[in-house]
Amino acid sequence: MKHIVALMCLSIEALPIQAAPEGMLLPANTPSGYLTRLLINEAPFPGERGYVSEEDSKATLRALLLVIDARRNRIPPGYTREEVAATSSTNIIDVITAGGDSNQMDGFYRDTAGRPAMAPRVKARVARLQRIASQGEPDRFARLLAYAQTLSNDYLEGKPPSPDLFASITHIPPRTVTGHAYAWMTDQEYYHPGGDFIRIPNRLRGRLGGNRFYTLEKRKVPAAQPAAPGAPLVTVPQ
Amino acid sequence: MKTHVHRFTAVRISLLFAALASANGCRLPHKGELTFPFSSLVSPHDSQPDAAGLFKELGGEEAFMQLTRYLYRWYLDETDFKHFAPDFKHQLWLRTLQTVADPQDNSRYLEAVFPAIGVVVTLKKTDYQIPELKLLVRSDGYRITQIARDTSKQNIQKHDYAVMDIDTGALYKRLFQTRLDCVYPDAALLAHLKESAAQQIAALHDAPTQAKPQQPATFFVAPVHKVSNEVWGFWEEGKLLFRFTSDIDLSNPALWAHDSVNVQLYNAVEQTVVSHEERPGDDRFITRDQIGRALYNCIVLGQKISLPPGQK
Repeated sequence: MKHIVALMCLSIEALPIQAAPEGMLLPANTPSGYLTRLLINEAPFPGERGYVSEEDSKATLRALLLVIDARRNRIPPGYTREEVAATSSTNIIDVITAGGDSNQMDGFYRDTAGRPAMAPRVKARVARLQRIASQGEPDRFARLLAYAQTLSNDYLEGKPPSPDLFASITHIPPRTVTGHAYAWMTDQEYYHPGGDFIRIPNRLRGRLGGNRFYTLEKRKVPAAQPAAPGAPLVTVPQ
Repeated sequence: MKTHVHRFTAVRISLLFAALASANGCRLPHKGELTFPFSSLVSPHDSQPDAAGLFKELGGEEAFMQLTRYLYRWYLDETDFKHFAPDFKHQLWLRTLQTVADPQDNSRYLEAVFPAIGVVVTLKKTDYQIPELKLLVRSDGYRITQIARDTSKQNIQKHDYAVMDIDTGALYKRLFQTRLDCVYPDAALLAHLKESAAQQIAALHDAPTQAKPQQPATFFVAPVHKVSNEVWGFWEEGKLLFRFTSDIDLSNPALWAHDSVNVQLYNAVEQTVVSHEERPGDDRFITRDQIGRALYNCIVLGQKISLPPGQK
């Protein structure tokens, strides 16, 4: 795993070096710093929509990281990584920035030079959270930031968070499912990932930090290969 | 959110029977007679003692109307009325939720179910402090945190709730009469929204259309619903929808002083799909249905304002 980390460091070393404000997080141009900012960006802090408690936000951070891990390392039988993660790569930066221009993880993408980048609003929010966390005695803001950074560091050293709340889910009526979560979305009624993603209900803790987590329907047979370019859209069964 | 049902330990119905029997000295009332309407629209179903307390906790009829008016404006469609489950057509289910909260967090949660249309609404009444900001986060009523269409028997059980009957005829009449009533942001909130929207527009590194931040921005603000604690806006030249939300009431000036508002941007041109099936797993897209609702609320019912050129 350390070898992988070293490779990932090389892959983004072209990023301009920028120190994290107040030094609470590793710089964004390191894999761990970049991953940490993704986790922070998707978890609510006190006062923000979706905030329930510090423990709920910590559970959110863990669940988010486990989605990334599942996309890298736990593609279920019958699925391809391209289908689930929009990339064939297991590199964590590739998984985070997958999707090209239509990046899958909102606000995280590769710039025109191919370097991992973040939307200005993501940078602004992370800076604001660090500024608040550094005011007075360390409290929930500081603890949540530190927790996110520790999770990222541990993960890149080969220690994913445990337990995985969704690993053992096998049945969400009426569907048989794969277990593990493979996607999350802001929990709004008008969002749904479509395809074979199955909503994990509240009773199985599928809602965390204002996000909804999704597992996959279990496939008995692999999905059909995509048609070759130029193939007819409609054919007559023989 | 780990939840479980909190059952009100209200006065047992047997005591009520006994009291009534001794008061009139003749007969025990039939079950159906023991319904005490606590609203012109809602009454307890089959004499449930929890119901009145829960309905009052929600905020009574005023809050119920705010909730239903919001659903009417933002969620319900013709098909919802066509597909009513007849057994539940007149019912509202309500319960409190317990969460594992931070120390000194006294926030409360309610869950309202409209079983006929399969809609579950989670509401939160915030009450906690943010020491880092020296800020008390306290709302004066329940605010929606989640709306889901998930009333399958595996997830929602009627016996976990206090069941109430809705006078749907009266409710429809009220919704129809007030369907064009609009509450707009007051001057202070509007000023904050304008400033925030102008900042967001100025910060766009890749404007989606030919419109540039230095040009005047025509901005529509949808009517506000206190119960939702969200405001939608539409930047006409950029074809961008804005959604402002927070756990803190948007009318609270401290929210804006500390910049604790979440702003989500949707490109109404590029991020619209008919169905999520077009791009499975891609969370950037929302459906044309939702875009249509947002545009209706912003442009047709909303307030048109201008943001000065280059405002930051």
